[in-house]
Amino acid sequence: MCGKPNPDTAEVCAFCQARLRPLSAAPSEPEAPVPASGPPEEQASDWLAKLRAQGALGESGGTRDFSAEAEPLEGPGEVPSWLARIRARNGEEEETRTPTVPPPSAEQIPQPAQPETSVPSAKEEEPAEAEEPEWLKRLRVRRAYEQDQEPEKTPFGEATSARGEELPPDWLHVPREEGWGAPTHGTPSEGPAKGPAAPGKGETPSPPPSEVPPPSVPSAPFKGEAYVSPAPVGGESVQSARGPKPGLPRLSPFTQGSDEFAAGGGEAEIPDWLARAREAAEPSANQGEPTVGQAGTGSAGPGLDELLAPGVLPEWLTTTQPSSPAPQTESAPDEIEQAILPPWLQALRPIEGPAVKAEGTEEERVETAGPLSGLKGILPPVSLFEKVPHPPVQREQLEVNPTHAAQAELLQRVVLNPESREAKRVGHPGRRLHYWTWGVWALLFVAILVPGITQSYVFARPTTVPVETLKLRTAINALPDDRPILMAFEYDPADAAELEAGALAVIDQLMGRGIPIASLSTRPAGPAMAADVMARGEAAHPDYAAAGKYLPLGYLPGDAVGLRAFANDPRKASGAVSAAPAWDSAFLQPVTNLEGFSSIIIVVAQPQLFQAWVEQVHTLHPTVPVFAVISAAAEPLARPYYENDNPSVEGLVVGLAGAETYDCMDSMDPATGRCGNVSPADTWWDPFGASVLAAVLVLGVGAFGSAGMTLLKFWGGKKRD
Amino acid sequence: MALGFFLTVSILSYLIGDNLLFRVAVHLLVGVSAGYIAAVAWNSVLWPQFLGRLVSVSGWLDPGVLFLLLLTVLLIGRSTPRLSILGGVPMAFLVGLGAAVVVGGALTGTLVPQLAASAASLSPFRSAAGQGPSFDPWTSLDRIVILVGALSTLAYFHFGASRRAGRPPQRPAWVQPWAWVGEIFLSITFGVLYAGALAATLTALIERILYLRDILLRFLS
Repeated sequence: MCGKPNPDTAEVCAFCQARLRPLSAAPSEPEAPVPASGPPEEQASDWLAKLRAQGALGESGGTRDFSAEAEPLEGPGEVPSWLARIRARNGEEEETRTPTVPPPSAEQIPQPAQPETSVPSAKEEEPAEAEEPEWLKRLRVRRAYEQDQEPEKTPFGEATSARGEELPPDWLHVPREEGWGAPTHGTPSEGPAKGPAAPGKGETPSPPPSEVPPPSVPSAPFKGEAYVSPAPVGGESVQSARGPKPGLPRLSPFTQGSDEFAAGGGEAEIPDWLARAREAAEPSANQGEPTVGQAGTGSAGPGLDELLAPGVLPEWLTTTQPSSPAPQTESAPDEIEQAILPPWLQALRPIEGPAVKAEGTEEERVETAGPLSGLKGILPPVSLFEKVPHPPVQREQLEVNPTHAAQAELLQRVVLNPESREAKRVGHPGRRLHYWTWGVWALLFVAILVPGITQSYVFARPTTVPVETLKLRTAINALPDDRPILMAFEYDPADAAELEAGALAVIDQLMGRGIPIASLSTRPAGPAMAADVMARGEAAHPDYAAAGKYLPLGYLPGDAVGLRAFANDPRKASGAVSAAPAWDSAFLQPVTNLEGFSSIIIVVAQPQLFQAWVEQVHTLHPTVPVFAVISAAAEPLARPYYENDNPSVEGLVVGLAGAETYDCMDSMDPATGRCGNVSPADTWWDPFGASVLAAVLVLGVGAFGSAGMTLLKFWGGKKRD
Repeated sequence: MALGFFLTVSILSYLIGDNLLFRVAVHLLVGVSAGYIAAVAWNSVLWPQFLGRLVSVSGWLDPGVLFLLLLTVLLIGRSTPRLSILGGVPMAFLVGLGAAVVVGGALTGTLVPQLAASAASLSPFRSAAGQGPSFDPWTSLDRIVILVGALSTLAYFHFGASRRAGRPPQRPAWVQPWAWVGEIFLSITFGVLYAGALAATLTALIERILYLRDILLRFLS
């Protein structure tokens, strides 16, 4: 049972104490009363004789399913003639055979006291042969053959001389059986026990011929394979294994044929393809021997007969188990059979990829989930993906210039230092004012306030009177006092400070002379500016106000078009509500057109308005002299109309300086240099001078400072280069 | 006077940044200006020249008033998309009339006189009526400067350039030095304009600060 070798004479295994020799078969089965001696040979049928003859020629051998050709069972006493001949011949052979092992004595013969013995005796098997299915018979023949192939497992320690050559595997039977003729299906088995030679196989010891009843008669011819009943076959196989030994008598016809076939006696008749198949089958058969022997000696588990009892195994198992390649299946039941890849599939293997680790060196992984759970050797898909070779990397030479490198470095620095990406908090707009701005404002405030508060007289009044200013003053002095003059106030309150100083100086002169003044403006705020200035002038000249010589014509809409209309028809163009009483006054009654005015004085802050008056009015009435009190900002654009051989403007008063000049022209004290006429221009003159000086200082500092910074940067860059 | 003082301080408070006082003063200035302009437009234009004349029967018989009424009605059509095309008539009238007036006045009042002034003789010798020829180099130099300034400034505004293969477009060679001189004249002109604007601004600042001084002196006294 343990499979370890024991002496030939041992009845009990020295290792596992299992009984090595079966007990003597008790003739308990009534179904096996067949005597050892077979029936007379005369009773054998002719066809069996032919079959034997064929078997002798090597055409027989192997097994064949004759179930379809089974002959009707005969009664126990009616032994067919062929069986009788077989038995008779067996008897003769047994007589001539020299037994290698002495026939066991009556005491040595194991008694069938324990029917649970793993390998039943032949007598125990014979009654069941008639009832055994065909598959079981074939299985027994197979197992008997396989047991013969393992000499080390036999209790006798004899190795079979030929391994598997005596009986080719099942797959090899098929073509050979096909070559048989129909009559061969009745190949009988030597069936009965082989007498002393039967115990040649430990597991299936055959009882002595005298004691062992012959196999049941019906089983022999049944289905043609009944002759391979387990017990006899086992012993027969041993015999056949020993058959090739010289001097030994030939065994049964079937065995004899098998031996001859296995020994190559029939090689001449075997086709080439079969011979190649046999050669290919030999290694596999040899590999399976030990395993089969172990299974046959099964030291654990139920007995073979129990497992192979009818009805235990399903039909599918009976058909597949014998023909399956037993060696590989039983030796490594857990291994997954490696598939044979076709050439086209092998061609697709990534042989150029990275070397895959050998399967043998990798620990097998047991699948734990899914339909393949419990199986080993399942290829992990992840590792397969990991082992996919990467495509070759195309290295490119990147041209990195210093600019790109600097930007990359900056980007890396920004990424590594997130705090550097924080945006600076934007404070209140008022707090963004630079200190320099505060300094400029402070300087200007000081420059204005100190002279204004102290009433200093630091800056000298203009002693040189410009020609244009002198012309205006001279022209006003020459105007008739019965004709009104037209005074246009074209400025907004933002420019009032600068223009009112000049306007007040001119108005003061006009009111001093009692010339009627008609005011007009193309700016909506102009009438208000005119009213303010005239009110301040009338305040200094109460008589003038009482005479009602101020004639406000109000607002003139339409800009250039309105001016053109006014130049064409002053009465019709100036249709303001306040204009009606002015036009109805005695001073404007004689005025029917623009030439009714003695002159036109334009107080303007923007050069465009001055240009419009010149272009639309002076061009239409060039005989009417035009004078202007303009802002210092408009002087550069207004002066060309004066600096001309045919000037459009005959006199100018420009800015605060022109107003101070105009005021002090007649009241200047040459000794002190002070202006005798207290006017706004004179009041603002020192603050104006101080603020302009401060502004020039700031501009100078800023310009030189900027130039110095630029030079420093330039030199610094040159030194670095 | 107190209101003027408050508004002046509010406007000057922008020195420390945008604040509530500054915004109040600005909004008040804008509102008062709009209201004042509306009042001026009503008193000076709408009522006396248009609506006031429609009150009387004589006004309806005046073709000018009817034409003005027609243009006004058509101009109202611009308030709706469907009738906006009608508003094109008065707009075309206004733009066309204004352009004609301005262009005509510019030609006769500015361009021709300035060209005549620039085309003066550069000769230093002058002959006045009843007198012999006189030598006046300064006047001649002055006119030369005016001429050079006018030509160089015009050359600076000459943006024509010729293309050459492989080179960026450049002005003609003879224009470049003139343009450089014109740039100098323009720089001087802008400097003078800035000086005039600075003087005007400083005058306004002085007026306001001294105004505050007067108010404070009155308050303190």
